[in-house]
Amino acid sequence: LIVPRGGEALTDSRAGEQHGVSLLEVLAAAENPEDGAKAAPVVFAVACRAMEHLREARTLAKDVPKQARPALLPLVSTSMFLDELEKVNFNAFDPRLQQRSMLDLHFQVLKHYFLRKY
Amino acid sequence: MNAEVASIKDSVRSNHLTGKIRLQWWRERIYALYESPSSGDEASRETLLLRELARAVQQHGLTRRWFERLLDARDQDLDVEQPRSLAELESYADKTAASLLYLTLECLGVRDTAADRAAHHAGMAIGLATLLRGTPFHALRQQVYLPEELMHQVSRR
Repeated sequence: LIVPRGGEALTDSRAGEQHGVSLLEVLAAAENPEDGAKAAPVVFAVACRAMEHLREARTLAKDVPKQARPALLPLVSTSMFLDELEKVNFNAFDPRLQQRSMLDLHFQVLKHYFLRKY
Repeated sequence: MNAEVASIKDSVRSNHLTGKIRLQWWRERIYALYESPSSGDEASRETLLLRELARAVQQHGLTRRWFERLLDARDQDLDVEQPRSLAELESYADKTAASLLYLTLECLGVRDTAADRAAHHAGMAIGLATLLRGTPFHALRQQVYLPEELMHQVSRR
């Protein structure tokens, strides 16, 4: 597929119609978390891509040597965050996202560690 | 070290040049670690962090390229206001988060293709998620990292 010059502008405006959120709106959401819902489609798109990579990494797990797996434990935290993000309908500004339970995180990380997963 | 380098952009929001200089300092330290271990030793006595870094590099034979990739990405980030596309964001995530994972793997003494591929994907997942998690923090600093292409270009109100 050959994209003519100016093709990018076209995709830009299309993406705009799809999502339609402005920089100012995102910045405003910092003051008022409810406004974060407007940016949710964009957050959703990024989160989906993150999910895809997460899944890829986990499918590869069986080929990864056991002693290497702890290196990938940071993924546990990522995975938990993405789940929580989904629960708040991809509003990245939702205050509930900032209240993470450290106990839960430690428990999950330990669980994955002993099961030799990530 | 990552925390240190990562915070450079946030702390020098007002002064672009200072950030560049601090990154340059890190470049020289890394260079010293690899090129002249003896003088590196002297320099690394300066801080605990550098001392530990030097030890890790020697013990595990860490690859210099990962350090450099990390610094390059942070350097470019200083020049970027908002990423254009999701792909650009992924490449940033890869260079930062995945580089760290590669270094971790080397610390564990693993040289394995599957592990590297997994680390590549894991790095991007971690990078993207960290970015989303940081969105409110960045917005407070008038900074948006959500890809421009995915957002509507604004009529300023």
